[in-house]
Amino acid sequence: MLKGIGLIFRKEMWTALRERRTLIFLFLFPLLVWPVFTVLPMLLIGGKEQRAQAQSSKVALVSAYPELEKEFEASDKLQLVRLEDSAAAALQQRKTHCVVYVDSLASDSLVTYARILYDPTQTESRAAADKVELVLSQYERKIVIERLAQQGVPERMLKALSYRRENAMGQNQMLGYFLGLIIGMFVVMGSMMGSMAVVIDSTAGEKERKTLELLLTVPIPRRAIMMGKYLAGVTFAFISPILTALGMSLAASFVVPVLVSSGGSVDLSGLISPGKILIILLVILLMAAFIAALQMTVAVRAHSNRQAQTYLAPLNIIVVIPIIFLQIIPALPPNWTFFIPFVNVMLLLRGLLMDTLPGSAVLYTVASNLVFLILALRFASRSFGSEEVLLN
Amino acid sequence: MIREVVLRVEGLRKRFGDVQALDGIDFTCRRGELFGLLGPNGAGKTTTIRCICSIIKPDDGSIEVEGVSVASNPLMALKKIGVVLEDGGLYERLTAEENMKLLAQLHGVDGSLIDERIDSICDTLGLDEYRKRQFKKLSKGNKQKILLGQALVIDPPLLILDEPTIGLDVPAQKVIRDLLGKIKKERTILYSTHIMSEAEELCDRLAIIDHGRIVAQGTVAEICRKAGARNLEQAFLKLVGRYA
Ligand SMILES: Nc1ncnc2c1ncn2[C@@H]1O[C@H](COP(=O)(O)OP(=O)(O)OP(=O)(O)O)[C@@H](O)[C@H]1O
Ligand SMILES: [Mg+2]
Repeated sequence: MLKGIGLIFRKEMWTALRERRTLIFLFLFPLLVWPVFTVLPMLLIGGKEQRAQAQSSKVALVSAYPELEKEFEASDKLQLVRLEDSAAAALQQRKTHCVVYVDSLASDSLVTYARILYDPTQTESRAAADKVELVLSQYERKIVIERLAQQGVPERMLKALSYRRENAMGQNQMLGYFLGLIIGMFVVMGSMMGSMAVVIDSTAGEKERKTLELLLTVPIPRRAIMMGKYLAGVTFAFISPILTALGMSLAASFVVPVLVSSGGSVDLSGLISPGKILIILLVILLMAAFIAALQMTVAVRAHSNRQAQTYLAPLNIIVVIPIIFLQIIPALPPNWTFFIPFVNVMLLLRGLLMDTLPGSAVLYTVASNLVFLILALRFASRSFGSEEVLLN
Repeated sequence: MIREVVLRVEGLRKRFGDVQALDGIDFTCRRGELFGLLGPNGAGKTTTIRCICSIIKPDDGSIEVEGVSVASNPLMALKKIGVVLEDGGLYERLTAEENMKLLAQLHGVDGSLIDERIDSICDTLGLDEYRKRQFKKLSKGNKQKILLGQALVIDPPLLILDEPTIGLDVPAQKVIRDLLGKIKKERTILYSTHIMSEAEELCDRLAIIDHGRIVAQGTVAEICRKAGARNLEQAFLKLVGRYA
């Protein structure tokens, strides 16, 4: 039995590594494509945001309001421009980053109404609106203080309460939170992607290429044939997320200093320890074993590569859904969340990086993955024992 | 001289849904003979072969290969069988010889014997030129040769071939037939086909199978005599009851 499993495992690894597709999914995506495609946009967006804040923004003041004009001119972050055509067109062509209208100038009214027209889809426009808002509020404050002074009220009466927000999370914890979120997501997806090609090739693919039947005539128990194939799937489902995590961490070490430029130095190494790595590897292994079993159950029922891919597509989507909810799950989630497959792995990764994880969470995650893994494996081996499934 | 039985099939039945694919199949192949399984489409040839190779389980009946029961000791029986399945394939990215090597390894052939056997098979089948080529880049005829090679590399007491010439052009069919003529001397072969001339040329004995039953069995001469026909084709048409 063991010898048979070994033979089939070696055969699957051998044939899989001959496929360029396997190598692409196993190495190129985790180590290069994903990190680059997540890091580049982050760097670009982050850089653009910072530039927009630092540079002076163009603002057009439509109504005649000399006092305000003076305020805008005084601000070194704003540059006053004239509108030649419609406000919308000027915004679109980026001749100005935002347009300010002053509506009510009735002399008897104490309040002046102003509108800031901007394009929230443009980084520069958003930044310009922020700057204009700041100038307007300072201007308003100045006027209010003047009015109060006329009434004999001193400026200090204006403030009754002073407050500020403080982040309860340390900077490293915040980093852990974001990295955990991103890496957790990519680890789960990496696992899915890593084993998909091998699992499909070794089941539906073998049917399509008419090799499965011949394989069933070698003197190896059918259960061993299945296990050999399964273990090949697990191997890929395990290696791929690890490479993904490596690639993403490497990429993070480039991005984080840029994005957190304000807060001095960031020590990424503080986020992780050998013990944590061990737990992560164990949990990823269990998840890989679950994913491979799940994929196998589905793929063995298809009779072509393409059909198997179609069958497996919903699975890929189902896995992505929890990612959306992950952002509203607090750093210390309720216990039951650690029983949900895939979600638990993402939460666990995040919790470990943030140092907020109770030991019980590891236990629940391991237990949950084991249970689901065994269930999926039973389904897979039932499919594999069925003539209908294998021959049709 | 009565030779020893290599394959014994008795009372084989198999049903797929409402199709009775096999309805009591009995025949025996003796050592050194090429036994033909001749039948029209859907007769049950492939189903019989799948049962012999443990790909599917028969509902009823027994199969023995060199006295080993397929039902109770399938792995032992499979060790004795090399098979070319109907419309079978091999691993496309592996070369011809890697494919043969892989199948030999999976069959548990002693590693030290494999290379030697592959050399001799490539020699016999005229594959020297193609052995390092990826399977998917071979012509259909050469693919079929590799499939044959893959079955031979096990050096099995029983060789089973399910319509090995189907889909090949006439010259390629001839090549395969000639090869079979060459290897049949030292082997027991179960050969399924629906081509009369092939059966007539190659088979020492044959069974005509139709609707999951054996309708006649024996040498070509015996079958013709039994059916009162001049040649195998006429006998076949009479026996399968579709004589126009
Ligand atoms: N897996 C299966 N599921 C359902 N029916 C099947 C299956 N395999 C074979 N059959 C049916 O069993 C009968 C015998 O088929 P089989 O393939 O054994 O015939 P055959 O003699 O090999 O024919 P051919 O010359 O076309 O290869 C046919 O009616 C076929 O439709
Ligand atoms: Mg057939």
